[in-house]
Amino acid sequence: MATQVAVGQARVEAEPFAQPRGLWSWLTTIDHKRIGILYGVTALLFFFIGGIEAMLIRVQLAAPNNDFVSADQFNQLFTMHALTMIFLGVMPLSSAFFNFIIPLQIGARDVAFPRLNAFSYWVFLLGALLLNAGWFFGEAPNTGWFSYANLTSPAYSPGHNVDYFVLGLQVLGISSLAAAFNFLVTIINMRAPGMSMMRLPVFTWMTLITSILIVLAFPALTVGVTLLMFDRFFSTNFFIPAAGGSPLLWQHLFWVFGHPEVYILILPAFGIISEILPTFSRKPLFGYSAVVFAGAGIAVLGFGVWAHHMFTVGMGPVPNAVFSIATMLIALPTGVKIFNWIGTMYGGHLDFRTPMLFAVALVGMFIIGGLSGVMHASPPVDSQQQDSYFIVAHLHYVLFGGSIMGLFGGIYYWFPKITGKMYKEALGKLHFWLMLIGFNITFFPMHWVGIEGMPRRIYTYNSGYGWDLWNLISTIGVFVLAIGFVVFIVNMWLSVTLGEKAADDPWDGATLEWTTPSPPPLYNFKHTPRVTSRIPFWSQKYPEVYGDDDHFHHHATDAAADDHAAEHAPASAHAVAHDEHAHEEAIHLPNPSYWPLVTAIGLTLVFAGFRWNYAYHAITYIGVVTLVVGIYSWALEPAMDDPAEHAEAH
Amino acid sequence: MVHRLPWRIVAALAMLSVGVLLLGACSSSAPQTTISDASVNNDRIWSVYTIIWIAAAVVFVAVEALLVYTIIKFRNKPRTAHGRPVPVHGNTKLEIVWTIIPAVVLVVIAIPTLQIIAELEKRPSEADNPLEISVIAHQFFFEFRYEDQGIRTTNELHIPVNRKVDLVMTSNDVIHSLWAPRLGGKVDSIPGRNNHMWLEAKETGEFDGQCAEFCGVGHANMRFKVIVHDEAGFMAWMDEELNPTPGGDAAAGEAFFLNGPCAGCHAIDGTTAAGTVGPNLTHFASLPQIAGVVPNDEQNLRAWLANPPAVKPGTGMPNLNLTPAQIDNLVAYLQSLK
Repeated sequence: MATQVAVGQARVEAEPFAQPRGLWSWLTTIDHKRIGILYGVTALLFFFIGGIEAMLIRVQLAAPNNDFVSADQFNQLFTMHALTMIFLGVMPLSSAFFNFIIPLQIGARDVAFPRLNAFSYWVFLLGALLLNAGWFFGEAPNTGWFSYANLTSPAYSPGHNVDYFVLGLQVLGISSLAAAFNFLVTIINMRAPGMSMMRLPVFTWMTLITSILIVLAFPALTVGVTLLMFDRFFSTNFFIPAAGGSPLLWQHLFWVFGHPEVYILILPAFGIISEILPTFSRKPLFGYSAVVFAGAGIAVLGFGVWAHHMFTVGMGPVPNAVFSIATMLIALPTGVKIFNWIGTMYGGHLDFRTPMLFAVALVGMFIIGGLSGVMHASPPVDSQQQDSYFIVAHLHYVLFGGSIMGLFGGIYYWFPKITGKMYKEALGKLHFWLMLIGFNITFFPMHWVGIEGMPRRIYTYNSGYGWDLWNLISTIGVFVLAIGFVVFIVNMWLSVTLGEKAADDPWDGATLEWTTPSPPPLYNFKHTPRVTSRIPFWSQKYPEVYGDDDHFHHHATDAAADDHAAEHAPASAHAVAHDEHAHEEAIHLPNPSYWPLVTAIGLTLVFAGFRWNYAYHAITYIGVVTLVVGIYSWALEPAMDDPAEHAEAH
Repeated sequence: MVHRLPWRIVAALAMLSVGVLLLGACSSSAPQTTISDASVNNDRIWSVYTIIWIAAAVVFVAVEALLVYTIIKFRNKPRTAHGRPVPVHGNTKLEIVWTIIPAVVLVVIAIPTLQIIAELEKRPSEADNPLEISVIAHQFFFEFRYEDQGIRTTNELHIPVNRKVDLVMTSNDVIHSLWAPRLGGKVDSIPGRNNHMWLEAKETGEFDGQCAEFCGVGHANMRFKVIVHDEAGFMAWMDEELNPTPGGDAAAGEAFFLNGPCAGCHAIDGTTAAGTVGPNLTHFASLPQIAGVVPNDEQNLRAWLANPPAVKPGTGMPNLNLTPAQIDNLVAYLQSLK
């Protein structure tokens, strides 16, 4: 699949850095754009697999007492559907945009640690395969994505199912952490001159906040999974009540990770539509600071609400009250975002291209998911909704109506930049309407069956509860969604292979990525741009509308120091100025390397050896050796060639 | 190039959503619905729930209307003289307004929430004269122990009407959750912990419930019933439990099989019993042996039902603590399955 994209991308340029070609170039790439494409294609593949799992679930539930799949197969399907969509679909699709777009938006040549970036991708891919390996043995994880202890203890889950969950999440967590540190450093350190924090594009801001969330939340999951790993492989009793352990400890550790994880899934989509809405409204984002601080506020509050997943475990009235109020508070910054998005559109010249349709759908659908979320912030109400289909409806309005709508909007929005081709607008719109309608047919009735008392995670139900019709309707909706996804794939395929060549700036964009060619060259920017505005490309294109830039100085006083150089530069009237002296500078790019891949293989083998513990854990030891060799070779390999070689190219 | 939203599709979608809600509201048969005033505690829940629904409906209509209005009013607007809409970067007053209004709505929700938390989590006092019942959850059935009366039942919770019932909940294996939606919310049964929930039914009858916390392969079939008696009926039921009339009733046995603990693990084709953990019992009476170890006759069947591990050590079927009356009925039923 990757090579298909490469064909579409191949442009022989009269430039010092031609795009390398062939499979080997993809295995050794450390170019953030190629890694972004790898993340994106892999994520869509897993999105497809997760969708197939969802279809099988819905076919089973289409009618009462159906026996399309067995109880255990059903448990594997709903467990893997959630794990796949969260860790292998939405998160890596967000990562795809972090990788491809962030360096372009901040005017950088690459991320701060390009080889660590490649390592993150390979660890993600191998971790995803490890998590899914159970399918080949008929024993995929079957205890839910939350995998509550002590159901996961060897006594109640004697097979290998839970092992894939434990080991897969360990590996995937390392990938997420490495990527998050990388983007933290990149966004803080690699910004172009003049791009103060309060001039960052909002997508970059949300990426920064998401990275902070990952850095703080994933260690809790790692700790929990490590304890579970000890319980399962070394006979400890952290979560085993009969031996004095606490199953509730797992729930706390899991949700201290799991609730911020919800914001890890949604904030990138919020960032994406905060780019799309201004572009297609032809208006700057309304209330930039409010949107940024609301995002940060959601992230901070997100760490204080984890126990609202545990209102029914008997924590007592005081903790329930505290977590209830904290949860309700999150509605405030979320509401601020929604109002500012509507404010952005208000008074604009709205152009309903496909990306805009998805962005508006996010706003409309997320309102529903947000309101149902406020309902179960109230513990008495939650006691009637928790673990019912009402929650299934709620979470899909947030994660599908929210995250996935936003991510698909992002795919269409940046498709011309990423591939250099235009997608087919008519197919894009068809995909959008099928997805919006299919989504609502599938998930809206779930509110009702939940209120009628249908629990989650049941593979069968009896007739006579008033659930039959709504379940059938939900199943029909899934097939509408599936047709929509087929239209999307056809559109992508046709557009990459036969699409018209895309302009560099097809949407009249405001941010730096649109100042580069489509697709961008290996080095992104020939000269490092200088930024004097929050909407640098618009300020350059429409100086009579945005050129005076008073607003930005007014609001971003912290930018004054950064601006000093820019204001004294000859071309300071333009928001995207190029330092004349920069023509002298040589472009240095790091070399491709296969050591990140080798290191990732070693790391994965270390964990895989716990599952396939043959011959005195031979696989683990092979993994350790590979890992050590990989890390040392990586460290000792020169990062780039002698600069003198490149000087010749100019 | 003009890009128009197909408004008819939007309108159709809105109609569909309203239709779904109306149809749903009219659906008559929903024995497990949360919308019910059959218990005092569910009334408490709905006193908050109703406020939240009203608040949510108002906010939903207001914000979606604003969104739709904006879409319609500003779509494809011709450009201004300089080709761009007037750039507006924000408005501090508006930001304050749309922070404060939702905050007020939240306060309106939060106050009754806190009151009801306090009410629902307060254990009944002596003055309430509560009936205390221990709930012990198992994979995949609920056991109810009336310790003071010396009665044990499985998957049938018999309670008197208009009297507070004090449930003390724990689990024998993994986490489960007792949920009879028409009678109120759920509280988890957790191994190594005692959780509390009170319940006060306002009307007599049978109420469906099932396990709400995923507990393994038999989770979907872990169903139970709450049978609310009037005072005399409850005394009669206790009397029958303590002094059962001899002789089995196959119909009662079938009802117990389907609604009791058996269907969590066993299937009988042609009925709603579809458990897959234990063997399929469609032709049980024709089997030569029980559990493959002892001849299939009435005496062995009684011994097996009374305590399976005593007959076959290591069997997956636990001791269900069945009452003599339940065993009589089950034997009559099982022996009819040729």
